Amino acid sequence: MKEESYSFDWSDIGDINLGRPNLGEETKVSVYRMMQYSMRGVLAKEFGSERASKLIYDSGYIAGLNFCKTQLDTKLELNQFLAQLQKRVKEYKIGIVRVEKIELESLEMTLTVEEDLDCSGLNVTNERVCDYDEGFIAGILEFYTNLKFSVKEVDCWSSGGRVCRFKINVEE
Amino acid sequence: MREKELIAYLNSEIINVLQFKHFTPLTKEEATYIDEVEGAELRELLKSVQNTLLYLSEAKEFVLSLSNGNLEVEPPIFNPLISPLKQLHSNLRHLVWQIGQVAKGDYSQNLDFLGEFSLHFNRLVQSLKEREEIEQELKRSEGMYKLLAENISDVIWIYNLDRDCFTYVSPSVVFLTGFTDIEAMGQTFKESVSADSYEQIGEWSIEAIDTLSKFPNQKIVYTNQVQQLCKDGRYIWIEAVVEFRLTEVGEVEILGVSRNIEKRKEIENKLKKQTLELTKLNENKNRFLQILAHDLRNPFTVLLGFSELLLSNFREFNPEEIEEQLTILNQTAKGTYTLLNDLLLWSRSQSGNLPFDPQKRDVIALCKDVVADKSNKFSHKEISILCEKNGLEELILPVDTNMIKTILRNLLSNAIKFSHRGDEVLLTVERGEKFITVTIKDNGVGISPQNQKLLWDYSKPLITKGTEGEEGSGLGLLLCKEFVEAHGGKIWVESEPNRGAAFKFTLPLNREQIVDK
Repeated sequence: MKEESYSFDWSDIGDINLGRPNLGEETKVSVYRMMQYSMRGVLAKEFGSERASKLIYDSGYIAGLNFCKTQLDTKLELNQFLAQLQKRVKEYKIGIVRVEKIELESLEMTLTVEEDLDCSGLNVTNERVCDYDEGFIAGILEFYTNLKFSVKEVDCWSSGGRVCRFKINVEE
Repeated sequence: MREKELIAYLNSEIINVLQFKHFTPLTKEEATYIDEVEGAELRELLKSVQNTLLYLSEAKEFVLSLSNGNLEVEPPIFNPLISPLKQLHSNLRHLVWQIGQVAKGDYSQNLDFLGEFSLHFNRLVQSLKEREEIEQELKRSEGMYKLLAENISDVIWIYNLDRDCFTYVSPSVVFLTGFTDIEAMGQTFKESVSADSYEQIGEWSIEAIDTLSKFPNQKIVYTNQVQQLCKDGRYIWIEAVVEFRLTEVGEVEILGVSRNIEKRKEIENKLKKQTLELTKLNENKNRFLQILAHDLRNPFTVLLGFSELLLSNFREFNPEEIEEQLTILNQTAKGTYTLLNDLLLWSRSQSGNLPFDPQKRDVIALCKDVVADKSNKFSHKEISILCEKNGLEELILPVDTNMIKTILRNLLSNAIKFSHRGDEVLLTVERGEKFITVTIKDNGVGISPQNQKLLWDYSKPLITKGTEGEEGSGLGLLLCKEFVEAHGGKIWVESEPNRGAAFKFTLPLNREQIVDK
């Protein structure tokens, strides 16, 4: 069992090649979603759906910090950094990140994620479910800029958007 | 609003939609009447129709904005009719951002949607990227070239022969000639090089133009030394490597690189001088060996032959015959001694071991001493030596006594040697403004013009026997020339065959002229 003070670190993922010489790195999206939505269900039941969303956001945020720390070059300038982010996110098959808008001075951005790992293909329920993505993006941008970001999903596959659109602002 | 009216309105609006006509959903207030309709199934149907009209209305507005090119429009959040359009809208907005990035020079953008358009877009970005890389390479290359052109000591230039002007001169020209590149570009070839060099370049040009007219792609390169004009009016030696070629518009131009070779020239001249000196030394060595091998062998043959004859026949010869043999032996020994003496002096003078030590001496007295000495030694030929001083009782000059005596002895010996028995030899001394002239004149056999030219050629000295078969080494006159020139004077001969010869030499009156020489 992990200690109560445990916080995720990239090294906790372990040596997958060593551990899975035959099956390798890849798994099915359904396996990922099975874990995420079963966990979401348990959390919602335990803490209510709002609190569950917040916990999932926080998980995504910690993952984003670690992803940026270990997988991205933070010395690049913003545009190059975003290009690198697009490339890495696609390589990890998380989704296809696209930039709709960036205000360089205010760091106000609109990003979209197509073929999102969390929600693409879900039934349309008029809900936005990409809490993990919100936290993930916020964590990445915070590690890169050392600023706190507010990331809000304004459109989602679940709300009939076919893309997930995120509005991003620096927190006051 | 009554039920029938609601149904009729919604029906007519649906028909309008199907007939591409304008349609308007119920307002929020009007829609509340649906709740009053009796029958749950009918109510649900009317609500669905109203919602469909609302979705259609939203979708129409959104699509109209998109079709007008307004990508800033925000899509309705929940509208099942426009889900795919929202994806397109998002992609188009991303495309706009990507184009903006490309415009800023971010060529890492890559499009992975919109089918064939993405192929062209990516190709376009790749071309821009390659162009930028080429431009950067060009810039770097230009920077390198500029660095080279401005810092190397060689000068790179281009001259257009058709327009008769320089089209480029590298800034390093200022280090070569003192002219700035702008000043140098204002000159023509004729103005920038010496007349001889210009003539040479002209010859190259004629040849090159002729070749280029037949073979336009031929590489025509010349390398030669040219005299280039400097800003201070001097001409300096440069080595020019030039290539003639045709410009894109068919004009003939010369691409050249010029390098200062003044120092090289200086070294070449030193080498030439050293080569000459070495040649002279080699000739001297050959002459020395020749004398040792031949000239000294002859007198010893005589000495050995006559001494053996005398020894073998000593008891049979009467005193007169013995005296005759001994006289021959004595004269041969004297001649050999003179030859050895000359050879030793000449050898020392050639190797720089004969010190030149001018002291103020009375030249008239020196002449008298030598004449007196020679008169005694050559009395057997009954030749009288006269000394004409031209009223000069004393003539003090800075001279090296030994050298002057050697000159006088040699010239008097020659005069006596080539005079007939009983002739006169005249030694005269004349004083000029800056020089004195000493002349030793005889009335002997004289010297032909051809032989006069050979007198001073130390590579092949002229050896001629005297009127009574006297031998000589040919070194005497060469020694005279060396010694006269060491004093800053000149020596020459005036003669005609059978009309005697006058050997003349000058000596400067003051020491400065010796030093100058």
